Amino acid sequence: MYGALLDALPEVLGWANLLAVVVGVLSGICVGALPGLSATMAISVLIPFTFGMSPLVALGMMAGIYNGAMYGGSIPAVLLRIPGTPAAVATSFDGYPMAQKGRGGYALQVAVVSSALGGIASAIVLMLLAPPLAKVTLLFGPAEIFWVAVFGMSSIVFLLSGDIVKGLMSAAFGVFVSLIGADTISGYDRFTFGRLELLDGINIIVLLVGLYALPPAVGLLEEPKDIDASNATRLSTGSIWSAIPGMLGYWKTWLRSAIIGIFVGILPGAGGSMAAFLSWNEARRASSNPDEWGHGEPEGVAAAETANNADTASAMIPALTLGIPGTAVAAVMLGGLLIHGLQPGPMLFRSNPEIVFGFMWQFLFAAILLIFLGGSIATNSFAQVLRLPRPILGAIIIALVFIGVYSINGRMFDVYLTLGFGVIGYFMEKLKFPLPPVVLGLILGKFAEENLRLALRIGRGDWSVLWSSTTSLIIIGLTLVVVLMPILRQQVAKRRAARQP
Amino acid sequence: MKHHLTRPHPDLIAGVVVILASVLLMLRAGTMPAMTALLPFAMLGALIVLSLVMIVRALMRDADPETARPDVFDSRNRFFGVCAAIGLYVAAVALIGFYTSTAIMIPAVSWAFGFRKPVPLALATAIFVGGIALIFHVLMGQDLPAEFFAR
Amino acid sequence: MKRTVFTAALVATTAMAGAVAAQDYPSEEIEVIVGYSAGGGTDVMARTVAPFLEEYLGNNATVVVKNMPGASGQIGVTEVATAEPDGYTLGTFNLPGMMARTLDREADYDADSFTYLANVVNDPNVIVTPGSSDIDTMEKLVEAASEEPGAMTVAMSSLGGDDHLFLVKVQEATDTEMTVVPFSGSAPARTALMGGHVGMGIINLSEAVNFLDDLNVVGIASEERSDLAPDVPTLAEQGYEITNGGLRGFVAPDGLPEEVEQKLLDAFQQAFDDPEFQEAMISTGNPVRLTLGEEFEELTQEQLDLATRIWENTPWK
Repeated sequence: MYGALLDALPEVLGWANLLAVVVGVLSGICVGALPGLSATMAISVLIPFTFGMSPLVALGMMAGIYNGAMYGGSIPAVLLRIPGTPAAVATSFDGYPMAQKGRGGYALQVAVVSSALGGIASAIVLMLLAPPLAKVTLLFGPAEIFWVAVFGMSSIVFLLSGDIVKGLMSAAFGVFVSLIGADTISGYDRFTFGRLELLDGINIIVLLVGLYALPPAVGLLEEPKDIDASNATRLSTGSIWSAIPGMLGYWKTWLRSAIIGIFVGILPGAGGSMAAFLSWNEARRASSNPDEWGHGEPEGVAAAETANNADTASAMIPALTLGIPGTAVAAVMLGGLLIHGLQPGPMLFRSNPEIVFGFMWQFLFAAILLIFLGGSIATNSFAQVLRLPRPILGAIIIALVFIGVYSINGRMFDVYLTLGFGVIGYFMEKLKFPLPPVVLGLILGKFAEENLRLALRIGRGDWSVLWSSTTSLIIIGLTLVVVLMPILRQQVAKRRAARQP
Repeated sequence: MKHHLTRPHPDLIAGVVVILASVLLMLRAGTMPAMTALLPFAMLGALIVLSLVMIVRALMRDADPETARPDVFDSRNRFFGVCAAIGLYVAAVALIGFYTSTAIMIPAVSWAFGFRKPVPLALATAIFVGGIALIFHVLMGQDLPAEFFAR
Repeated sequence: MKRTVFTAALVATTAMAGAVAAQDYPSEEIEVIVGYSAGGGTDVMARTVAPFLEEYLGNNATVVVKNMPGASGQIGVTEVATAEPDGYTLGTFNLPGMMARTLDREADYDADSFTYLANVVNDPNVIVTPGSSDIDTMEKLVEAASEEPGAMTVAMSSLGGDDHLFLVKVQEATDTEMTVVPFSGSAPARTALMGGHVGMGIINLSEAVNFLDDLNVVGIASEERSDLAPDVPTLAEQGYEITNGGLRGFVAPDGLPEEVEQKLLDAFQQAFDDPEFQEAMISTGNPVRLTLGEEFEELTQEQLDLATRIWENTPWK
């Protein structure tokens, strides 16, 4: 098998295929960096265009866009607190406070290095371990996936910074929104009001753009002083290479987050934002100064960005081997494979090894290219764009939101929905309702419900099906540890304090 | 802070709105089969209970004039101005097409909201609209809502 | 009021213009509306067919695929049903899904809303069990399912699709009662099956052929064995006369001028006879079978009758 991997290399190094990856990474960074546009949208626009292209050129562009956008999303997340992709929400937790303190440039450097490392680790795992990891995916039936969703949900607890009542309301709202659409198990439609456009549910991009990109655009216009909106003037523009030695202390976070990202990637459905949330949480828990987190701790940016790039290539493992994509973007990318007649499954590795393994190399190259392309060129130029006068920037974001949402399915309805979420997001922001729980609720709400109900069907009403497998028990155990550890630690600390007065 | 006594706490209004919306949605969920309705009911119920908590909390804080309350609008007029502009823009895109509307919206909104240098404004608009047209129309052949003169 | 008069006038003029234009059809771009995102099975079929249509329609025809995804194809097919019947808007059509939607959902179209052109793909259903399972014939399957009602759990994609209608047929023919586990697509259903989380699964042949090492294919619901998997016995061979499958084809709005219709039917026939076309379709995993014009309409009616019967006996919601 590893021989096939090497055999695929010369083809990938052809100039057209290399150029495709470069173009993909650059456009991915742009798409991620521009508020309103998303990798999902970029790849769906690209797919019909690639019909008739050579498969490796098409796939190389997509791999580049995916990796580029996962990093690019951190640029507006850091500079404007507008996550450019759903997975960059966790990046803004520490990235934006850093920018406010004048360390935005360093935040972006940490983001680019972490993204690249996460992507490289993920690509290597995809290349070397795809078949065995596909077997791991098979261990996860509906019951096990339900527990993974619960595990993801448990991280909501840590996102409820400050106001618990409002945090829980945000989460409940997110879960409710996830339930809109056809209920595939009973066949009934929920809260679709007879609109066909709502049957497939609310696209995460529609919600994200509405909640996160529109309110800041309104804010830019509401307070139109001719000042710099983005903290960009305070960006340090030092060389990325001189900054790297200072980051080596994050190696534990890098390693932990890469593992979390890769693992979340090989599970069907949950996707990049869950990886980033989980890994941010875990890194904070392991940290010696957890109180600094959320107020500009560079390691927080490292954790989130490593994880959301570490699940790019690994999300392709179930997509390529089983036809079930690990993230929303991987789902769109699967379409990019199918349009070239590349049917997922074990046969794909035998019938088209040069393409499958070539595609894997392209993921690796895309991740490596991030450092060169994202490091200084892209970051600096985008920082400049975001320095536009506030009214122009606001107007441009509004137009970008329109394009980004309209292009996903080519319909106005999604734009109207986005406007609705924009209004809700504006008031939530002003009334200090936290937004991250909404995103997590939308991603995990129906996902958990559907798998729970499928599991109960399989068990024919017998609830013990939920804890009958070793895999389930392991995840339940992990969840308990994660939820209870902080409490236990506090107790221990209290006791120690009591002992040494 | 002057209208502190005359206007209710924003949390109070938000709570009432959320409760009303949740009750309305619950009525719709009534006809669904049990397993389908379970989670929606649970979430809407949670929203109602949490809103009640929030309302009570807001009332208690209201009694205490010392606590600051969040300002919902930086400027009411500007907020509604921005909303109107966005609404008008989206309607215009559907009616007269994407590129025309955007070419009008960007300078108009920038001008109205405080950036009034004609040359940079024209330049920014041209670069943006041109860039989008180049990428979406020329390169990708992607359809954005068609222009009224090209239908 | 004004508007209705205006629309009526518009319709009248376009109808007249249409009669004249029919002779030199196609003179404009032909749009094929696909109700799914780019890269889905139906989309790939449409894109594979498009260049052959262009070739055989002649007249320098251009055929472009337009994706209007949503509501399992219903948004797209509704758009086709309500489009101008001038031959410049065609659409893909999936059976039995599109007809089942007229039963279980409110639909702005019915079987009479279309001019039926050509059904191109017939993807027969297969019954599969996990590779680790020792159930590999219908006999063993029926035995296991008869132990007690509901003993057999069946993974399949959504309710009211070809998988579901097929399952109902199987239960009738074998006099068993199984537990339906409807996943949100064939791929997750197949994955749960491969992991051994369910007893058996119902998918289509094209979805099984790449996984033959990890799955037992118990039987295929077609009249004859398929070239794609010649070792798989048909259900008929095993004593159950059941055929069923997912169908994909092309329709136009109802009321297409006859001349235009004929030109399109000829083009589809010529495309089908082209060995290059056959090869292109098979390389994308599509089992091809052509059903043209009136026969396609009859086929649709058959599928509708089947779905109606099942919907009335055992409504799925």
